[in-house]
Amino acid sequence: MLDEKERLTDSLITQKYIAHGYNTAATEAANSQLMDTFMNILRDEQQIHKEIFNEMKSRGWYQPKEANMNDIRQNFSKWSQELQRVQSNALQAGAKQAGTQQIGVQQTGYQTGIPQYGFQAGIGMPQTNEMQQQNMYRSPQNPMI
Amino acid sequence: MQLTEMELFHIQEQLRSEALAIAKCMTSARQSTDPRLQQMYSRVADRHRSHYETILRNVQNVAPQGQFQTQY
Repeated sequence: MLDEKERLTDSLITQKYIAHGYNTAATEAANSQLMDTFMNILRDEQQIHKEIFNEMKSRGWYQPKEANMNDIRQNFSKWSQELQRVQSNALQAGAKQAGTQQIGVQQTGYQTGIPQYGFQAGIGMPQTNEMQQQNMYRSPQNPMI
Repeated sequence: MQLTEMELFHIQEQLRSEALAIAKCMTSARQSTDPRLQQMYSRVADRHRSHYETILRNVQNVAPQGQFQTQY
């Protein structure tokens, strides 16, 4: 037979496992009503987990080690910078993509307006960069390129 | 209302887990020597039982027993 501490530990692990199952079940539910059911139960499972955790903690059977204050500070500064880096990268990539899309729009207009391909660029077509010119001369056989 | 195979799979998994949790809590309530923990285990068992019944009701709504029998 398990002792008191082992029983509580077993219950805690069971709760963790069950909560994990409900999280997956809610995430993969196509039916909204069922999703709500899973999420409501998930919340209750987490509360049970917390109650068991508190019982263990009050008996000194579960003492999570506190993180080092310097590690916390270092992490804060590191991840603050990371957010800036990721966001500015995404913005730059977005600016490039917006440029490409603009070319696409111009081409569509040009293709519908003038059905011939390989015509001389420059007639009513703004030439802003080399990439745009290459796009204008692309072969009609490979519209995806 | 319909259920996907994935949903039915998760329903079975969770019902299985809840049933086991009920059994374990009932055993723990009996084995524990701490009255406070005995009570906690009993209450938790009741909550798991309530989860089990809630899920079962969802299944029943999708496929009522009467409809089930006429189909097969």
